[in-house]
Amino acid sequence: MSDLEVILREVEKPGRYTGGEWNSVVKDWASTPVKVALAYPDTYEIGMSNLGLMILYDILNRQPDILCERVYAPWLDMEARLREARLPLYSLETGHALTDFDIVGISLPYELNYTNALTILSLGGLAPLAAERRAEDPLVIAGGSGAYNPEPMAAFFDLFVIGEGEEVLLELVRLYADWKRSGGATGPRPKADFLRQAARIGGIYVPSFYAAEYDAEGRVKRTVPLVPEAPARVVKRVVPALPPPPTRLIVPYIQAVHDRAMLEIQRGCTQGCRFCQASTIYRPVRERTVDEIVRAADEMLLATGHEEISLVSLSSSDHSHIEEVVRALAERCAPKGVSISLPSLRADAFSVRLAEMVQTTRKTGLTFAPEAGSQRLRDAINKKVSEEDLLRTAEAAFSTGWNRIKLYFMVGQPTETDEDVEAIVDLVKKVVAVGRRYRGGRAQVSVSVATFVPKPHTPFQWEPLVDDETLRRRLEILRRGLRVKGVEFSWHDPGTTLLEAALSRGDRRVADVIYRAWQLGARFDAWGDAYRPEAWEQAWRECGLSPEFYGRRPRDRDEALPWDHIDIGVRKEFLWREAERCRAAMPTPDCREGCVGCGVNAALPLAGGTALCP
Amino acid sequence: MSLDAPAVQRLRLDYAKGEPLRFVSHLDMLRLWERACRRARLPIAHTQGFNPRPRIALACPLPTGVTSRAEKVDLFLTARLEPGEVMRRLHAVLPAGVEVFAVAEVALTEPALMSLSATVDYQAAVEWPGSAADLDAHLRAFLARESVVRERERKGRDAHYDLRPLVERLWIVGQREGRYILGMRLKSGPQGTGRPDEVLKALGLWESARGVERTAIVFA
Repeated sequence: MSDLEVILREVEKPGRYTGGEWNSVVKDWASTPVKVALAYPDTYEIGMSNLGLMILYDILNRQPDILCERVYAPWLDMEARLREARLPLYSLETGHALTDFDIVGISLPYELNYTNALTILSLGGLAPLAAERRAEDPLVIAGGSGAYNPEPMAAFFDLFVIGEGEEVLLELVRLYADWKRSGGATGPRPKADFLRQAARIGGIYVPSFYAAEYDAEGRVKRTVPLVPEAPARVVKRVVPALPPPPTRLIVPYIQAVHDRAMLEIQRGCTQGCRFCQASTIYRPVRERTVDEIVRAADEMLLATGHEEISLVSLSSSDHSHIEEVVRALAERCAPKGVSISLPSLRADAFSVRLAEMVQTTRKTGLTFAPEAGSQRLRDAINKKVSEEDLLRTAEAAFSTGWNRIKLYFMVGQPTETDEDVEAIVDLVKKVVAVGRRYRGGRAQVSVSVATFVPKPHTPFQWEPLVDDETLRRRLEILRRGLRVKGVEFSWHDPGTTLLEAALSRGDRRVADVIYRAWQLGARFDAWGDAYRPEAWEQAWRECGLSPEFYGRRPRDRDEALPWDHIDIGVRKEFLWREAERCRAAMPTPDCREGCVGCGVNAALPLAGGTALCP
Repeated sequence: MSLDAPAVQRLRLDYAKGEPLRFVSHLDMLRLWERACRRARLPIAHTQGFNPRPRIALACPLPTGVTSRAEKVDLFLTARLEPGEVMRRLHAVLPAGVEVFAVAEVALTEPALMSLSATVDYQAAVEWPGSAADLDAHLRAFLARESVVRERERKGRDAHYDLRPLVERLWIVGQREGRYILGMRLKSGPQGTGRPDEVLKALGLWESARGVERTAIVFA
């Protein structure tokens, strides 16, 4: 006797599973011909904070003949209950199982939620392995930043969307609808026929049409297309100009991680930090105009009733009219009790001024990311902030009423030495001293430290992950050095770092490991309370592979990389040159100051857009 | 509209909370109301001070998982509006599961909804293998007890409390689809709040209980 009511009253946070939120779109199931489920492989609270999924949900639901519903990964207790009761994972809008949809799309935002994607498929009634799914099963696709190295997840998806989905997803859904209407699904080789047509669409990668070859040491030699429709290199899709942002955002009932109106003011970043994958894969920069932002903000606040609006971008202070934007929004928001948040501010006095414009009543805290302690290392990773900048920023913040500054650093970056880590301690102490001068004992500096993980399509894609011993020694330097009054030190547990490093730069064979670890119970690997290292250890062993091979091995310049056939527009030679400049601790200017020659302007169709590629 | 403007009108709304809101907590309901009022462009007053909050107040918390046809919320406005106008505007912006059926003006000086002691009625459909008379006897036996000690987790620690004085009445409302409908009148207020799930557990009827609903709040 376990109907859904009983299940829901026994699981944690049942409000995750009930749907019905304001602005969610519930279309008539029977009369809407094309049905798409979009899934996010993490909890509801995290998934609801993802703007990418909201953008695609909005675009698909604007089409009269298409419905799009949401699915999130159920937490461990809910998964167990659903399995026990033999109930399928269901969409939040109408409660349909995944097998009832035409297309199931899963976003791959982060390597440590890959196993959750398999949970979603399996609980939805689908075989996780694409090769084991039946002809009548939905088309299963993936996208998101994880798709830029699709290989570790290649076995689970019929195809990947590489790049921005705003245009290509509709093209794909239309193609699928036509193919299905014309009876393609009942043909002799149904899915393969459709996939051949899909492979011709720019930005679509059909992994089953490619073969990977390996050398004697187990390194990828090359990845070659097997059919004429499959291009040798799949070029990422970009929209030349950002389409209008979604304003009827779904308003959750239970608190999401980012429970606020999210308005993307620009996409891409010109700073060129060498560790940053977003910096290369989201090139070029495209800005929204002040008018468009203000209009969208008005609409969004009225449509959602949110008490906070967040101006989303990789580097908010870089928008060429950010001051105008912030001033116009502050004028509208303050009288309504609506607050504005500006994540990702550059560490400079200008940013403090921006923050001051939006923080009229509450002065909670300001966050900056110097990433490294010494100037030498900041030059090496191309993080454009000097000690003087940071201290002036701290002074501007503490002197105008803030009590708390949060600083993000990374350890384990290429060329880093113990001295660079000791420099973090010195730098933090200087910031504390500035705080003392203005705020006395109330001055607080919280220091958050993460471990650097090399990612594909970055200048550091050839670099090994820092070894455990070095990492522990460096964290110890920080732990000891930062036992200072007024400093709060926290670091991300490096336990899953090697796994993340291995999955991010894995090849096709890693799919076996992911599948096996998932069978052995791996779920929510990014969540400390759920991570099961023993499942992963056993899976690597059984598959005859090792995470060290993928995570800790330096690559040569000529080594073929598992993602070489995925073309993001930025040339590999540019990335290598940046890696060399890192070794020489030579910074590269922001590309707003002059073209740095990454190649994206030549590779991508940007004509007629508003892309900033000076 | 300014955040500092004083409240000039207080409206009390009677509403039902149905599916799919059953698992939305008391605190989350408060946020739902704040957002709905913003969507409806109601001139909501704000609390003064360091961290201004919209002046919206709910009555005694409804346990998560329980639906209700007897909820109340007070809205404080900085400009007077006709109750009918408020109802009309809110109807357009409230999500499925909230249904406002009355809006009335209340004196600004009345005590806060939350501070009032009340008796609260619930109904639940339960399975009972025996006759109505047997069930009635079972309920009487419960009421005849002097104390019914239950455990409740508080701040990670188990605390004991006596459920019995919080239960005023138990009765059989009727029958529906093979289940008995059980009525409960519980106390709710600063002196203690009886939870319907705790009563059903103490009666041994929780496993079979379906569709617990609050049917009335009566202020003492």
